[in-house]
Amino acid sequence: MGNTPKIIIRDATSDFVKFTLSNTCLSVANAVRRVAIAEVPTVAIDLVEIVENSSVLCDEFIAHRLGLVPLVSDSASDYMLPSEYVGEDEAKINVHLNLAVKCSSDHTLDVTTNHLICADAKFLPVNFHPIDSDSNKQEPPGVLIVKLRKNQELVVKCIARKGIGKDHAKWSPVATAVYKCEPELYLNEELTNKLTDREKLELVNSCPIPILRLNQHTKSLEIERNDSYAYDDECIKKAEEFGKGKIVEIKAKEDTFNFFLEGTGVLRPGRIVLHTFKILLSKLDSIKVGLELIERES
Amino acid sequence: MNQPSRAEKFLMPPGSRKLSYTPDTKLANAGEFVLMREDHTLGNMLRMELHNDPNVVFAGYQHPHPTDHRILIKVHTNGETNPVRAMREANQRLTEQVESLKTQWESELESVRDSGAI
Repeated sequence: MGNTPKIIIRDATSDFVKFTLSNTCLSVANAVRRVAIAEVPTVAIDLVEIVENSSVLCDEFIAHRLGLVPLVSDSASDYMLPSEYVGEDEAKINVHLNLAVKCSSDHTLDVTTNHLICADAKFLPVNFHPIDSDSNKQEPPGVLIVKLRKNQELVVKCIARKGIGKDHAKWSPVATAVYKCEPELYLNEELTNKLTDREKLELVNSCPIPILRLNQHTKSLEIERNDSYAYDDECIKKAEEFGKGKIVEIKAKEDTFNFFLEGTGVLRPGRIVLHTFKILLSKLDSIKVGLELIERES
Repeated sequence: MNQPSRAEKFLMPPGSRKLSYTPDTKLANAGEFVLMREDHTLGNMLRMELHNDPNVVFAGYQHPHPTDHRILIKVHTNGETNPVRAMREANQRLTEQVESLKTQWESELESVRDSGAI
């Protein structure tokens, strides 16, 4: 089979990437999605030592919340997974973060990720702005961890480690990773020409996600390209109401997949996809090595 | 905690092999691959690629149990090839596809460099 898959980026920002994977089969698209969710390594707080906790939340609750704090993981490849590392040098797998806050005012104190004291500047919480008591600048708030009232105190020592989403969802770099077959629309022009202008407009308005439009000059129905079409079939139902169910036909193109991948902020979305391909390649390579071993033995 | 270790999902048990192959005792050119510590990601991808081979009579995969982290792939071929060769070729084709996707992605990223998505 000489068919090579194609991939093009439709839209990309620092938060998400939309791309189209075409000329391939569902199993490849699903592998890309699954690897992006569960196997791209990131760094997250894994061990928490509670030194002092007089807040209203119990120790476990706070440890869990700290684990879910997104840490920028661009340098995750410099570190090793604890399971891979065999040496004694803990600095190769551990990243230290500390938190020591006491509320001394009458107002409730919001302890956020901005209170974290990070030993390594490469692994900071997403949107980190350290608390600077001297300046009264209004920094954007971090992720809320706990609220303290007067005289309550929280002192914890955290160790962040590299991991993958398969182990725990806190290591997953994506918030959303979904794909959908590209819709193909066909309009039966013979039938649409029999509709009144009002019926045409009704048909256009029946779609919650617009896929049809009415050309104001020629008063004819036209197809509007829309990648976010949800296969809701509303316009087909509407056409059936008019007794002309065959006006619109919508088919899913089964070898073209529109992806939407939104990151959590720990890795840039473009990087996540790049990592995904690298991980898939290393998986396929491990099969190759295994097969060579089998062939040599037989 | 009263639950299996989460590391079992991806950590190879000591002394085990990633991929092993057992020929079928009754059928010629048939056998079963066992893929340790893999899931539907690779299982489904390899199976579908094996289907693209006209010499493969049957290819199916199974994930025996949610806490059993391995994949069984049964392959039956005609006399033109054998399961190990069919698997090697399927794996090779997939590698080429993913390799091409990776290079395409790198050049796509280059073209949207200013968006902050890289």
